[in-house]
Amino acid sequence: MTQKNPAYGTAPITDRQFPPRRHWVRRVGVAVFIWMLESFIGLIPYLAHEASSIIVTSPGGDPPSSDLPEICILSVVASSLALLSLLRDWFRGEAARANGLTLMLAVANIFACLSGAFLYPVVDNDLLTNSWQALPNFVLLAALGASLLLAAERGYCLRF
Amino acid sequence: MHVLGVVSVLTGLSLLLVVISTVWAGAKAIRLWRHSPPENRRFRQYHP
Repeated sequence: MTQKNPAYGTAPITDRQFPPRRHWVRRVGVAVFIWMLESFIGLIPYLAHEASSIIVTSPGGDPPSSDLPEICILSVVASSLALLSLLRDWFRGEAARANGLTLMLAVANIFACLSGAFLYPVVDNDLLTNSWQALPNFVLLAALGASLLLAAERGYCLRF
Repeated sequence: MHVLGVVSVLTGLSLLLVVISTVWAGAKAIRLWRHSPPENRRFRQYHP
């Protein structure tokens, strides 16, 4: 094809018509906003636990249950939704835009998801001793950091 | 417990990969910025 696409200026006409390429600040901003919505979805069990602990509190009753299982749920949801966004790129036919950074962050998300899934039954059955109480917070930090970086990187590389 | 050891190793590897990715992306951004011509820099500094 020697004819130029008048809508995009320099790109040749192909069978697949992509939407126009936005500025990278806008693309990364949209990706980070979607990441915030996904993290809020993962935060819903935590908010429900907090609300129930406020509502159901009775003097002299059982002590409030720990909120560490909800932290594990949030880490699993955040990292697995970030991995599903890679699957969406695959079905869009834009998997070829993945680079080494994408692979590294995908592996980090897989590790965070696995650690959250392994840690949830331990935490839910109160088998976590006092010296391990900080571990779910580190799992959450890894999941949120990996999913945020993967969303920002996909937003920078893809056109949407 | 063995589960906590596995979870610790996986979390540490994940955090390590996150840190490496951050350093990599930052270094690439700085390299692109330093090797770009000044007229292509969006937030360029104007000299008198």
